[in-house]
Amino acid sequence: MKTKRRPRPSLLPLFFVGPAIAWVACLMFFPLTWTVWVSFTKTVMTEKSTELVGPFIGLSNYYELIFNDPNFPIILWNSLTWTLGNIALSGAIGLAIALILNEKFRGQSMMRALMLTPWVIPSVATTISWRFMLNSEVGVIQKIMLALGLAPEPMAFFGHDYGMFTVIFLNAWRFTPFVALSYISGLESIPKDLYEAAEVDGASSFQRFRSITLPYLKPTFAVIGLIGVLLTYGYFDVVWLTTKGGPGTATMIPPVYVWLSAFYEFSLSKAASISVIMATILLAFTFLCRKFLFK
Amino acid sequence: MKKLSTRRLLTIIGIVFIAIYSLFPVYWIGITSFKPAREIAGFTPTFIPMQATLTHYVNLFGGEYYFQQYIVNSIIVAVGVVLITLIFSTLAGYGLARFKLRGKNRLSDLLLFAYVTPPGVLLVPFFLMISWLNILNTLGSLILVYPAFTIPFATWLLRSHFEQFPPELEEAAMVDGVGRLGILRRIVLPLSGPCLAVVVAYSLISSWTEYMFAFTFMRSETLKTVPVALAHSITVYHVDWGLLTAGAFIAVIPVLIIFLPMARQMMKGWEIGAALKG
Repeated sequence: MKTKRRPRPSLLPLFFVGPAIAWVACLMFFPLTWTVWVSFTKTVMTEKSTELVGPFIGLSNYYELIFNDPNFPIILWNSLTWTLGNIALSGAIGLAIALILNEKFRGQSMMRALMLTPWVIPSVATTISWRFMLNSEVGVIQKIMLALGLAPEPMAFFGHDYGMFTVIFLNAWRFTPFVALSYISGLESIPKDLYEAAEVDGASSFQRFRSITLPYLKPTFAVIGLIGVLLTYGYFDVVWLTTKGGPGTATMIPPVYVWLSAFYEFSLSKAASISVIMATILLAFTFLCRKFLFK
Repeated sequence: MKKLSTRRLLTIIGIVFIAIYSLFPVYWIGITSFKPAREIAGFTPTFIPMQATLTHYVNLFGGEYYFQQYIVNSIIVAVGVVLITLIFSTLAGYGLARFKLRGKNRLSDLLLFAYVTPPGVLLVPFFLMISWLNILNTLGSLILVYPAFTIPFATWLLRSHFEQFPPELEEAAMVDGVGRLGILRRIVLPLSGPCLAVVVAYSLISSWTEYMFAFTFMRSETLKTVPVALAHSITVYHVDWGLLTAGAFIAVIPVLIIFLPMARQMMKGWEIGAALKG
């Protein structure tokens, strides 16, 4: 029997960790690289899916998008309002919810679980429900507003003027549980005796909130901000299932534009270039976050 | 009688608000699905059906909408994804927890990166991949793609969980000559019930509710998954709200049934943990 001087490194870890890594790597990194390549070509969707990549045309797609496409600036602006609006709204409501659920009461666990509902249910159900409730003819919210005298005529929630607000609200509604959960986790880590000491010293609720709660929540704000942007920026379902980016480009956000470029305009290369721009923006944002927030 | 403090009162109001905020949309599609069409279209909204009916559900499964086909499709995809996720993530989570690997943290960063990449960015890449593999319009395309999202999260979860196992237990078994895989199978896994349940639930819910890729990859009517079929009905047919809400409600109920008890359990555990700390 041959003996070796050093034991051969075991292949066992590879067997354990390999498959998962391989799956994710193959599925993500090769296609992503491929997409970048496609963004430098002119590729159209054809019947035959085997002819996938067209001729190389360098940075033309990007040039077209940035300088010649009238929609593009609007879409970039929309992506800003979409993302910021979502985070602001869900951030505020989520904080309120977390503060309430931080109180001890019977059924606290149940309430915390129920609170997660908007996040867990399918986006289709969410949008069907809200579209129904906001519908001009049969929507319960319209009828309530009518009864309260807030709106004599049915409001066009998904129309040109209010479309963006509405879709932001819908998505914020969906996203609130995630935010609230993060806050709850952050709030749990604040030592209770700080509050007691402050109370003894005569600090009011508001002062306690401002001087103890808020500073302790700073890291949570940062996490919610970062992950919030990542989860919101490229989110397709809500806008697609309500307005499809319309009317016109009123609610058009990048992921919807990607989809339309690929499957309505049949230009895979245009879609690819938009995707690359999206990814670049997000990477830059993540990088900046890590740099300035020490995450 | 005990005086109700302002704080207590505010808390109660807050709880009511949270309940309405979170649950009203689900409640609304639920009761609407049991209202006859006349009542849905009526002028005054009713919060409890005046005349409950099952017609919408009957239409959903009989008639022109063979909703059961979509449910079957979704189930097939879900089962496939759960199996793949369970196997791959358990192995990877255990491997990352127990083995010394060079670049181990870089590997888990890689998985994290995969997890936070927005699906919108991955639409074109995945589409290219699936087209090239020529499996567009098959359920397999979804079973291939969904684990890219579920595996990272599951691995991270299982890794934290395995790392908390006292190593002595496994070391004892290793001395007895049981291999790593055996240890996993016979010692660690039987004790990991709740964590595995979370992985299963997460994978199930993710595949059941996913819309964008299912919508993009599936072209045939008979291969659609539940979310896609529902979304399609909004745009194509004149809107039959009773039917639509019934379908939506069916999509929601399994998720809530699987998810709520588990979530409540986790929240309770969290409370206990926090109480122990403070």
